[in-house]
Amino acid sequence: MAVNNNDFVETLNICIDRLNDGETVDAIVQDYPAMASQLRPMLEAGRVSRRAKFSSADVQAARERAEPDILEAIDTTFGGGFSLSGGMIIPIIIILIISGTFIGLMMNRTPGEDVIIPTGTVNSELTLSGEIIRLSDGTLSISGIRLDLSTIESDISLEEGMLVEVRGQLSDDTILVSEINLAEQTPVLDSTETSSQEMLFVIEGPVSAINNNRIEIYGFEIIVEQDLALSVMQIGDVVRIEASSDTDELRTVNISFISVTVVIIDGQVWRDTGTCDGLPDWIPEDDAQDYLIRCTSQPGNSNTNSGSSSQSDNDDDDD
Amino acid sequence: MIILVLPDITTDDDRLRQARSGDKSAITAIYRSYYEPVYQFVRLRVGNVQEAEDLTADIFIKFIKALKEDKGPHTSLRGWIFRVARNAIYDYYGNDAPLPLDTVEQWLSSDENTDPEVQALRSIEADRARQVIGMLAPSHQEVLMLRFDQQLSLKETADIMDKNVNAIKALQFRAVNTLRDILRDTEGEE
Repeated sequence: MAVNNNDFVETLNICIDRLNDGETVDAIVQDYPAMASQLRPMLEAGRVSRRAKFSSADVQAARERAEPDILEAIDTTFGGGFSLSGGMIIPIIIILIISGTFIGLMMNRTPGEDVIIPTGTVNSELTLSGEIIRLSDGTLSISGIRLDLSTIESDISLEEGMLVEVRGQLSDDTILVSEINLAEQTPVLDSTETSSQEMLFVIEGPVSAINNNRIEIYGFEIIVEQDLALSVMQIGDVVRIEASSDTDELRTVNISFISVTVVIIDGQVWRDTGTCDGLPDWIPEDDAQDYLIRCTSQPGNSNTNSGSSSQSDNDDDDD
Repeated sequence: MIILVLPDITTDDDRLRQARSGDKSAITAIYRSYYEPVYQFVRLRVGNVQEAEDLTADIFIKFIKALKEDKGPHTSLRGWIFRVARNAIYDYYGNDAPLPLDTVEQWLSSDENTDPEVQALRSIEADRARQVIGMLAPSHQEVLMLRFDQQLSLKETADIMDKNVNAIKALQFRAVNTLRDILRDTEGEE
């Protein structure tokens, strides 16, 4: 079937976008059977460009060398110190899943009783989602946390039982509400076993520091006892950590990498470096989809003689 | 008690807006999220590692100063940063310089995998990549890097390369077509 050159150029562009969205070449070309024999080798060829990556270790080393100067430039240009409490507002969503004891722990605690609120959260902007348990003059309780409403005027007629999302500023002994909106549903965390006196923090964000077995995310210092995960973790990795806070420290219970593929099985660890070094045979394919999409050639495609399109150079200066 | 702590889902536009207001954490976040793609982009075109690092750092210094002087991007942060990166490379290298071959060879270098088979495969692929890339015009190299490697949109690529979107469509077609032909030819030689 003859294919119009302009149609082909348009289709190729759509296919590149789909490839960039993570679709496989197979899935893409199936939608264009008349052009498949031409599209497939071209998309495969384009994917060669994705191998043009320096190793993560190279990039990490470069960034570590550059970072002090760049942070200093930011600091010098915009003034002030670089601390979490120096006006650096960290937007964080804190969703309280299980209520009941927190009010006793946090708001009505007796003097000397420790409440585990990582210092990174103080002065931070928070969003709490949950059901209004109690409503009284100037205060609102959501999942057992009392919020100070004195600083806002809301158009919403609040009632007990409503699900709301509240944005506010966490201070040492209260939360000053700055915004309140109706919420559609209360988020629920998957079943995670904890004792009633134990708090489990689930935090997801970029690792900003690694010091031995302590890492920092959004100002929270967290002890990571999973050596294998720690051995491949790099500053800048976005990770999701479930941390126990039954002592005065946060200790990682579970850890997963969000921004990079890391597979840990039976005492072995593999991190996707962004190159195509070969996949260890102990890694299930399902755990390395990004790698396979990036690095695996489609069998038989690279030698496909597509009957090359004769698109002419007629619409671009092409430098 | 379970507390779920998640960051707000911050878009580039959110970060840019915060950065323009002088929020240092937002500026730092932008720098950290863009350092790797910008460095990869620069390093591919600049053979000297130290020069690549310096150029990359300069790009972010320019971004910081532009924010301070209220001259930075209001939208399309990614496009702005890569445009500055492209200009920095051209200032350093000139418009028509092809990729340095020693850099191309390092594209596929492995510093982790010592498996002899993988290394052998790596060596073949490096040779092949050097052949292929060396035969492409600079504009073809660039559009492939931006569209396939950096996975920028057509519009972003067009903005960065100072062309309209139709020109980029045609250019990327010719680039992949040429690349495909060269790959096919070199495979036939192996």
